[in-house]
Amino acid sequence: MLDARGLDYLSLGNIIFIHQPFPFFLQKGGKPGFGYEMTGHIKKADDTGENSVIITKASPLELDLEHVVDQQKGCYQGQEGVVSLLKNKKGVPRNLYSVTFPEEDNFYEGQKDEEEYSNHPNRIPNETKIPKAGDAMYVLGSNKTIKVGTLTSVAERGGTSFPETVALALVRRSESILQKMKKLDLEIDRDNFNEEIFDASRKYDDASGIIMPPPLDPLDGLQVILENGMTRGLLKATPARRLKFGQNMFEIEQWATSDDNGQEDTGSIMGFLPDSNSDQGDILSVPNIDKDDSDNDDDAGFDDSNEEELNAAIEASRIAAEEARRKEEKLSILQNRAMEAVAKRKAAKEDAQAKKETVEQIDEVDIESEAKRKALKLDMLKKKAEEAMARRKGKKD
Amino acid sequence: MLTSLHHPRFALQYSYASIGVASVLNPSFASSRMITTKHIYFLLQIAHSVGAFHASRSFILRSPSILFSSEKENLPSTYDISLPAGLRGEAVRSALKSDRGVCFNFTCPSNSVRNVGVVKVSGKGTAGFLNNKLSNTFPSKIDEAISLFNPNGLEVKVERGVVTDAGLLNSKGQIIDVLNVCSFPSSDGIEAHMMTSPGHAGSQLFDRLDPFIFPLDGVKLIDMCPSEVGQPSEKSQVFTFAATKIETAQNCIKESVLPIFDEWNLETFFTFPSNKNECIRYTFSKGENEYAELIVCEEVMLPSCVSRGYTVVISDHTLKNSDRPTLGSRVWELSTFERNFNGPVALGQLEYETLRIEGKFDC
Repeated sequence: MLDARGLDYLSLGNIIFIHQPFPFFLQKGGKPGFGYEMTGHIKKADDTGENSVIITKASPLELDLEHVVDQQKGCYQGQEGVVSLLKNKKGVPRNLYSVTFPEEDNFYEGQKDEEEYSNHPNRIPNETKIPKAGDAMYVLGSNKTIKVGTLTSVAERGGTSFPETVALALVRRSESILQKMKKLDLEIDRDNFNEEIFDASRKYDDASGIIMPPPLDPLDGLQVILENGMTRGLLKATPARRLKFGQNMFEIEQWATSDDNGQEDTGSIMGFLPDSNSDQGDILSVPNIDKDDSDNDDDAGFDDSNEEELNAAIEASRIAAEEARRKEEKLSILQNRAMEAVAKRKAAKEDAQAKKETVEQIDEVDIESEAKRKALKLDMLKKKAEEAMARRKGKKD
Repeated sequence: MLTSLHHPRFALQYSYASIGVASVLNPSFASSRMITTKHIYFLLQIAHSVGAFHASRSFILRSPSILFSSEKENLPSTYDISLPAGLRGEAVRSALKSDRGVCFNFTCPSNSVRNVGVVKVSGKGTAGFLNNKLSNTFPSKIDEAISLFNPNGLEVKVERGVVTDAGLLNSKGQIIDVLNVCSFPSSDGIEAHMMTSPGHAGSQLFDRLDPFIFPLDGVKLIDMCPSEVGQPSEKSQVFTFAATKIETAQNCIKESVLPIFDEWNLETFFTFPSNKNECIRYTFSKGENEYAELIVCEEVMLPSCVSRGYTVVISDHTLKNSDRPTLGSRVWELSTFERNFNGPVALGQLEYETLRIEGKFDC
């Protein structure tokens, strides 16, 4: 059966097997906006406090807009620029990525809770600033030496209803970023990455009818830090695992995060469509409210469900605490690795310096011996010349 | 310092309790005064008590001055801007997932920041002009699929056209804008309506293209959404009806657009475009030189994993010597009047921007 989007799927009860082409999974996020990704004029204050304008100029191929370019066509405005990118063996120089800045990682300056501690004697100035279009991003742990890209659009903080700020960014080629990260012994943290499932070399020819997803984007999950501050974010190129159904993102979020349906994330692209007769829609209903706006007697109605909700909340808090502890440990490991890398670089530099000095000493000795040799040779030649002259003189006489 | 309440898993698991609150926060419903401020804050307290609102203490219940300190604060929103952003985000999601859907007015004067422009291209050189200026290919001729109806003695012409997304590039191949071009058959081959992205005014596009047209090109450009016009009838209006299900968006059009054209009995022969590459133009004749146009195409100006739906362009030239509102104004009024509890929820440009950026991928 072919749906409106051209996706072929076989519906079996309320189980859906999706057969989708691989490029579907490789498409990247966000819609380029006029004045931001396209013909963007982003005002940004520089170090001196004066406003400067950053102009975003991007090719349609960098913004995942291949469908607006006919590659067989010629003679249109801008054709040369497009063709030069199409023929570039390295691919496009930048790509559009989604970036999320979770609230759990960022405690922004000016925040109410932060202000309460602002008078603390040992307070360290908070440099976590709300991301803005035009901010440059660097790899976390690289001491802002590896530039990743630039933010082009930033949505309203928390406007997605989740505790995060979402943004779009133009990001440099993954090869150069990963190469520089390797030199610093940095790597992308992918704790939930299942190598077996996402093995690119494996051939899925078992005729099961299920096409496995391709490997993740090379930069998916990369932690970044913004310039002029300590704001941490996460790059997301390919759709998150919860979006495996290929359906509407809001409904997918609902199923993926709901424990009510009892279905676990199996990691495959086989998903379950919600039963239209189920109680899923109840969450949208408004609790009982008296139309006359009288007393709030509806508390009792919520008390029954509160206990269960609170138990679940405690469990979720425990899981969240474990997760936070695990992240802290990972962060400390990352910091240790970075320090080790710095120490290694320092030692290597010292070794190189010592070698250089040795070579210079050897060179000095060589120069002295060469000068002696040349002086001896010159003396010898002089003697020979004098002897020859003496012989010639003797013959004349 | 991290706390357990800051974890997104906690936030997701208990965000459902907040949806009940969010569902009442759409503007028309709240403005009906059935739901008062007291109700809303009562629901907020309940949701907060069961752990909703994503680590609520430090996230949602912050002072608004801090919440809206981003650069997006200047964009207009149909919600009360003093409400927390997370709550408004939940309301938008709730509206998109509901049977009501949402709608955007991309020609509303108050939304001038992110308006959509429409420029009409006509003449015998239309196909050549589009092919020279834009990065996609346009046919020089479209097989005519024209139907004529005569309801109530008035003539209605229905034309099926082709939708093409094309890039307007500069000389270096960098993109200026993505145009949604609706091409229709005409006596000169084709004529086209170029729809810009939100934020790109039609007058800007007109000023960019018009100076390079010579008389021998055989092309005429008309700015259908001029920013300053003498009569409102000279301005086309662009509306988008969207939802997570295409059927919901179709219902929105059936209930909000078709009744306005009951003079021509549009409901009896109206059809939706069969796919994303098709657009339909209805031309309604009323009298001598009096006509109206309705163009429908499956385009929502957002990533399709966020929503699906239709964009309609309404041009009204039936108002000569008349003070009554245009057909487009009446459509918007019918869609969003405050007692229309089943109609689409009107969203502002702030919500549009968040949805545009949040869209994870084109699915």
